[in-house]
Amino acid sequence: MKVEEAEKIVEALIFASSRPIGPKAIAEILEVESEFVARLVERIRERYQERGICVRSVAGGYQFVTSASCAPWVEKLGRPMVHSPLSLAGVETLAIIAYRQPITKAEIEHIRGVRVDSAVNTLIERGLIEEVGRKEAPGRPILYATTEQFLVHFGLNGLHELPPEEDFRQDGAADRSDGDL
Amino acid sequence: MYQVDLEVYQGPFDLLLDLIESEQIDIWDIPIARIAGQYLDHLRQMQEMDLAVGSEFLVMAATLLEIKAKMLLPAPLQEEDEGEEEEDPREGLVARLLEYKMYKEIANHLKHREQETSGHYTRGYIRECTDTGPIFTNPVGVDLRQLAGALEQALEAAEEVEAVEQIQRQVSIEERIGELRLQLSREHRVRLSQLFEGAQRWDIIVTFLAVLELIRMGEIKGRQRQAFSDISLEFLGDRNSEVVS
Repeated sequence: MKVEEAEKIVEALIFASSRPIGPKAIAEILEVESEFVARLVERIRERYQERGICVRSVAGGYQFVTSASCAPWVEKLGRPMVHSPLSLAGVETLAIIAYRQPITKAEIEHIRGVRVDSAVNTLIERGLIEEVGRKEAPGRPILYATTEQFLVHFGLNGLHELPPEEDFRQDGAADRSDGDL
Repeated sequence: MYQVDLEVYQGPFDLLLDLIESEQIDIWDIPIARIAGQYLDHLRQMQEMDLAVGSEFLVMAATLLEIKAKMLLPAPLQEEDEGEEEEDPREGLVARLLEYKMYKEIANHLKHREQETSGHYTRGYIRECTDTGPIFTNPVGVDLRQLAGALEQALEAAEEVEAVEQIQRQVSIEERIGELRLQLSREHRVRLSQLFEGAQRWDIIVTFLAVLELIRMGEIKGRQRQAFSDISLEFLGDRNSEVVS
């Protein structure tokens, strides 16, 4: 298969897929190596520079999206369906779930110091988190974890792209733990 | 006018952290008495504003007071070579505050990322203009105080309207009986429909009850020629004045 031909097919696959499509899925369809697919996607990405749409890597796959510079005009078309920003309570709850998943409501509440029922419900409704099982503890509480939609919403390729927790600690706890209290 | 500067806090930890930051306090050495006082002041303000003070805020207030009490008590004497330092009663609280603070920072980071990724739309992400229902957007640059002011204004306006309505006081049945007596003693005969002309629903009811009452007392006589035709009312005499005279 010629490169030009393969590139066309990859472009069509990304366009037609309703979810971000990963290099592995594309490679299986084309019967080529994943690395080859990644190269093809880079070629497509280059061709789409300075255009109204671009290729975005998200949730471990590729997706066509409108370019950020066009957003003000695209938004005049109508209102975005789900992309309204989350509330502060929602993001705080989501931050805890993202870094501590799988986690129960009670554990989130212990950290936030408030009840999180409505925040958790909103996050489930928006498809950002989901139930992933039950904890082997009294009452077998439900465990929650983030979804692929979570990655898409925040433009992440995977959970590994979340910066490490340590980056957000600014308490000098490390110095203190030496016992110079 | 309210003289408060209230933010909406995500919970007791959020409020405590804000107090600590605004006072530039070392989180490892919180002056519990001072912070507990400020915390309670804040809860009081929330209550004055009629904001619901969740039970979690009260639990924290109790925790702060408990720590304050523990710190006031003299430390029990310990043998020095036991090595273990006496535990600071604030330790548990500080640990939880720091943990919460970290997730708050992470939340900020996510918020930032969210902003960066917004503006990229996939197909079908935008709903057509035709099916836009009512939209609520968070007002930009409006704080709680402005909202409270707007509410106050709205309530004032609402009260005025109510006051206007109260001027049109409704007549009681007794008053209407008096009025009917006067009218009938002058005109002697009145059609019931006449009494209802231009009257409001409530007036009609009062008038009707007054007529029934006058008939019962034998002061007027109602006469109807056929079903559904108008009823004529004939004045027989004021029983009240007869008794008096």
